[in-house]
Amino acid sequence: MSLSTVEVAYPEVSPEEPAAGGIQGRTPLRLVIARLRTDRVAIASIVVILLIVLLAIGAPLIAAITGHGPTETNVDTGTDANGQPLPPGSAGYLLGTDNLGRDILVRIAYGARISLLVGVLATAIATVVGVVIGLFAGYYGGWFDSVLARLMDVVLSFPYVMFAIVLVSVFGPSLPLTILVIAFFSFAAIGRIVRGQALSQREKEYVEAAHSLGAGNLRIMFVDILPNLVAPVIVLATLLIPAAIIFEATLSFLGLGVVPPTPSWGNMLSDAEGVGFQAWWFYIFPMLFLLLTTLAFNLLGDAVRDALDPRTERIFAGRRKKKRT
Amino acid sequence: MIRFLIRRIVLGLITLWVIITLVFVLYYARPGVDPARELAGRAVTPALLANINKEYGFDQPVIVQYWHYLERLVPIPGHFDLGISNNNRLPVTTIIAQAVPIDLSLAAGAAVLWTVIGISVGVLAARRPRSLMDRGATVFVLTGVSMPVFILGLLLLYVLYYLLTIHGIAIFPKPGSWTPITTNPLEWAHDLILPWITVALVIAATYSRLTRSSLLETLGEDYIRTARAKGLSERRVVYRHALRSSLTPIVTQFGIDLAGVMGGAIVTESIFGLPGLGLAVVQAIQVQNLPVVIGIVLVSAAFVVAANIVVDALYAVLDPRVRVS
Amino acid sequence: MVAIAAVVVAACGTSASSTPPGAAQSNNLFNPSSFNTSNISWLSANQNASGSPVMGGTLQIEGSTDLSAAADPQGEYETIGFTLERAYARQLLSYPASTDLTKAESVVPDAAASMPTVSSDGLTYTFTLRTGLMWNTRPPRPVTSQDFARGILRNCDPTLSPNGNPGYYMATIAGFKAFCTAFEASSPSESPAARARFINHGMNSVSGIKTPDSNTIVFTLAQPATDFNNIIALPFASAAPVEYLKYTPLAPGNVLYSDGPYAITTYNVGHEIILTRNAVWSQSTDQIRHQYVNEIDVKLDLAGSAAATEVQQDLAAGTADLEWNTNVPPAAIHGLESPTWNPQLGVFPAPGTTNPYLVFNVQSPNNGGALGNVKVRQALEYAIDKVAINKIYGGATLNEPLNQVIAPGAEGYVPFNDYPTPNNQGDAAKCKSLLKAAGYPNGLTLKDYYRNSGNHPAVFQEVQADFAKCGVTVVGTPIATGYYGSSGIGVTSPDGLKAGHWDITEPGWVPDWFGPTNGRATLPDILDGALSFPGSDWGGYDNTAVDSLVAQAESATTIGAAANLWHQADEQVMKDAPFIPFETSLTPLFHSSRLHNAIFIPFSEYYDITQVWLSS
Repeated sequence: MSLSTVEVAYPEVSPEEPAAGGIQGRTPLRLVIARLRTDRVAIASIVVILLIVLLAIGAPLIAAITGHGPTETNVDTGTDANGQPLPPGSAGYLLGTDNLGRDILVRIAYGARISLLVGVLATAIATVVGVVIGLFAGYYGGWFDSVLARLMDVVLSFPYVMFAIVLVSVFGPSLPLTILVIAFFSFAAIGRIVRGQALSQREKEYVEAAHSLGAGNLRIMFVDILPNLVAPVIVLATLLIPAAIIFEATLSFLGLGVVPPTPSWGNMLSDAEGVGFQAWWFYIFPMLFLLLTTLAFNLLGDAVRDALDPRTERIFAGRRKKKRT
Repeated sequence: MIRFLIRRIVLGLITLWVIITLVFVLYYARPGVDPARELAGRAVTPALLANINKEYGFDQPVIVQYWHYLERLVPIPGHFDLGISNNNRLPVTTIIAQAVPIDLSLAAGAAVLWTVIGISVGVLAARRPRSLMDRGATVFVLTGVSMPVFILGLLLLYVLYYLLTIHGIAIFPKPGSWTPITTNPLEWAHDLILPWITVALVIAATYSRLTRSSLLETLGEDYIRTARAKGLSERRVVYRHALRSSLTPIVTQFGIDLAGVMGGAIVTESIFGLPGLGLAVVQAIQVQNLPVVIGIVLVSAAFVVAANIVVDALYAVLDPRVRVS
Repeated sequence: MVAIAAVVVAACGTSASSTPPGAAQSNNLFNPSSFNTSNISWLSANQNASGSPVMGGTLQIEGSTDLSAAADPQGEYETIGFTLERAYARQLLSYPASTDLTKAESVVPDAAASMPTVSSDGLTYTFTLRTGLMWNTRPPRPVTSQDFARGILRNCDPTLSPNGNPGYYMATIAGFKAFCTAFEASSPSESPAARARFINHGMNSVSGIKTPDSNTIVFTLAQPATDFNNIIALPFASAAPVEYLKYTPLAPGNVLYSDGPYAITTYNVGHEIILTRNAVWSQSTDQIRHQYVNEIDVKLDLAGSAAATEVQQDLAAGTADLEWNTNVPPAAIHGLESPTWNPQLGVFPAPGTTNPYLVFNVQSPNNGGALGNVKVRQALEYAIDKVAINKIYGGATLNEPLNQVIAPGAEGYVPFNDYPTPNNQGDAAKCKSLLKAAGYPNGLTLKDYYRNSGNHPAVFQEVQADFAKCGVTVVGTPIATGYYGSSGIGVTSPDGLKAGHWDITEPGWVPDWFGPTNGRATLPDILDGALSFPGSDWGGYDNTAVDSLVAQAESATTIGAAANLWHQADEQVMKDAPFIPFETSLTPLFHSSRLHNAIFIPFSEYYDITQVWLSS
């Protein structure tokens, strides 16, 4: 997925934005929440995400209930006489087994942990790094900014899998390396936007005012400019999470990310390739969960973006009107 | 304009140099690691190691090695030397030369597809905001953005190849089929249909999003209002006037995406068995064939940097405001 | 020196309930001496041999990997190389294609006019060439004894990817070891002319190889060897024309000379190899091969992990005739065996194969040197569920648990099991208690380097799970496939194992030849510490008692004595427990319906492509 096209139509929210269309004044946060409440799609995605989180948290419980662990091989009873996986519904395996006789439901639950962990952690790191670098680049400008901007452009356009291949060929695949690779690749997406914002914000009057009051550069960057960026950064971060999840799944699929026996939705699909299409359950279920998760985050990100954008007030006003009548 | 170009080229060369040096550090100069052993790959003997050491000069000071390394990368025939593959003793340049036509073919067809689909969907959606067409486009976009390329590829293979073929409808060729265009153009296209769709759909989704938002923005501008007031048909307004200026972000994105695909659509090639750069580097990594890995990484990096420069130049041509900045 | 066959051993499956036609018990296929081949249809008759041979047609072979040494007979060491060499490279002696397994394992004269004359002390072998053997040079010229000498000497060329091919000749032919060591140590970046000089010098200076005239070649051994004929029959001893001295190493496109029924006319690297009839070969000079088809077309570029399935589909549809490096995929086997046995399927014994097995790095310093303690290793011998490993490789009808070094059908096989477990499924309790007695009540942590392709990740996970039940934690590192290389198993000096990068790993072994004299082809290669470094003794095991037994077996004067000594070596090794054997396997092969006369040759674990004809 090309992160460079993740776009945000960020409104210029200066600190005192009158609540559009509303009678009483509300803080931007309350405004956003109010809008989201009327967005059925947003609510649905939040529910789905919560369910996946529950699945991840409850993975050991599922393992205990079914009596199957996520990584213990079970070739003797979990595969048929030819060593092939069992289809869903056989002998207590709700979603079937994999090529080593392991319970697919249990592995999907543990795989959810990986996806969520990598997705959120990598995005968090990328966000922090991207914000810092973007702020510095945009605020100071000059050649410093040119170099950083160019670096971010190249990072964004470099085929990320190739990049991951380089690092893995040198250091070997592992979970921390995967997180770092994804974070490194994603920071540029945030950095670019933050830089653009910082570039335009530093010309503003309030920045000039802060200067004349004697405020230091760091203070101006982080205390004055940064709060204005919270909205677009949040949207971008929410949209980066599914990109990070997809990234990890792709790396694991190629054998460059999470390595067996730890289950990841990506490496489960790689194992499935070795078995063949006739074991459809081995493909379809990991695919389904992966798509569901990324779709939910993407829908949520879009909804949050619409909620933050005052230009879409028409839609939300319409919805509120519908509810009232 | 010239100054702008020169600045961009210089920046690009610096970036390329940074990447080249990073590769050198990672592979040839890591402390505690014997680069000769890494490069030797398959079964190692003391004699083989001694020879590699002599050829690459690993017994010399690092700075001398670095100089020789840079020398070998000067793109003049006679100088340019990416080493020999461990696997079959072919020069890496030959291996790359053989793989490039596949990537060119993949990129060309996919580029046509994603441009046509992406822009048309985006335009149709922008012309009728919030219509059924627009909602459909949104679904298309969301699916494309949430779907990892490897899953799309696997799904297409499963449904269009496996399911159809086992029911006797063998329309699509099996993975691994490749016919050069010079041998049989029809067969060439036939073998590439599924890979083209796989690569194109995800990018088309982001393009339609870009087109839609860019066109919507343009359609709100004054000169469009003027054109409409003058009585021009909506069609002319959209296609003759608005589209041209809204395509600028797309053009720049196009260059980057094209370079990325040409650099080796790694996942697509792996799934469909196309012998391009992507598959070559994945296979090389599996057999610890480092000269090939390094060679392909460097070539891809050069591609990407060159594409960035071209894209910048194009952007400057299309949007005069940029040149002055 | 076939360490790992270039055959994707996909996990094949066979329903235990369907039996091959004529086989009383399918398990007997594992021990060829205990089944009657005439009862098994695909072993008793040349497959599909009805009717008379039809001349013409193109044999289509399909696969997913290229040769590793550009078809150079002195360079190839994978079974796909051997398969192709059958068509264009002849040896002094070779194996006939026969459905009688005993005949198939016994050498017969090929380029030699008759079996060699052996001196009474067993040290001198004299071969006389047939007349009429020609190279397809322009103009054609006769094959000479110097060509065979040159072939053997070329094995030591330093530009060849290091392999164990020269080892057999170094161990037997007098004066060869000195020549070979010197040649291998010379610089590969010298010109081919310099290397040619070296070889030419060797042709006069190696005392154990003499060519008194162009039709005679005399080998003098350093000590007697009951298997020297087998060693001469290896493709590494193929004749090499003088033109090969111009290019070292040979690159694809240089191996165009042939003394066999076919010659390589096109080699499109990574994509295709085409062989066509060699006009100067005549049937009267060759009692082994035939020249029925016009052309052999090998397509090598199916990529992706589903290659085996695609090849199978093509074979069934008839768009290809034979697989190249893949096996019949697991999901397909069941459908081919029941309800009735598909006549295009054959399941063949490769007696003596042990693939995979687990080897201990006995020099590893990890865990306080635990793996150097024989009691620890003996405890771990009880850990593995070998039936589960069988299933990973396709189930009980294709695989059988193995509990010793020498597998059924190999020289010196006498069944015994020092570490019995119920049903060969492992005994965790016993493993645990023995570990405790050895001084490790809290278990161990072992590092496993496992290959990242085929069934190996599954094998690793099974090993990890089995050891876990015994209290041993296994931490895995995936390594590059193909060969154990620099960051994997191979170390650059015998002391490298002491660094302890890995504790266990799972290689595989296919003997280089089969039959009653193939003792040298397995045990010493994988377990003899005295062999030249690097060998395949991955774990660094060395026991002088075993070395001495091996040396005696290799220089025994009768086959019976040799077999007995191999068995003793087997017993000694298993007492030391330097490795855990897992299984021995059968090879399932499939061919198209228009292919006739498919005969399995054990050496390449494949059909003999010079026997087949095509007709619908």
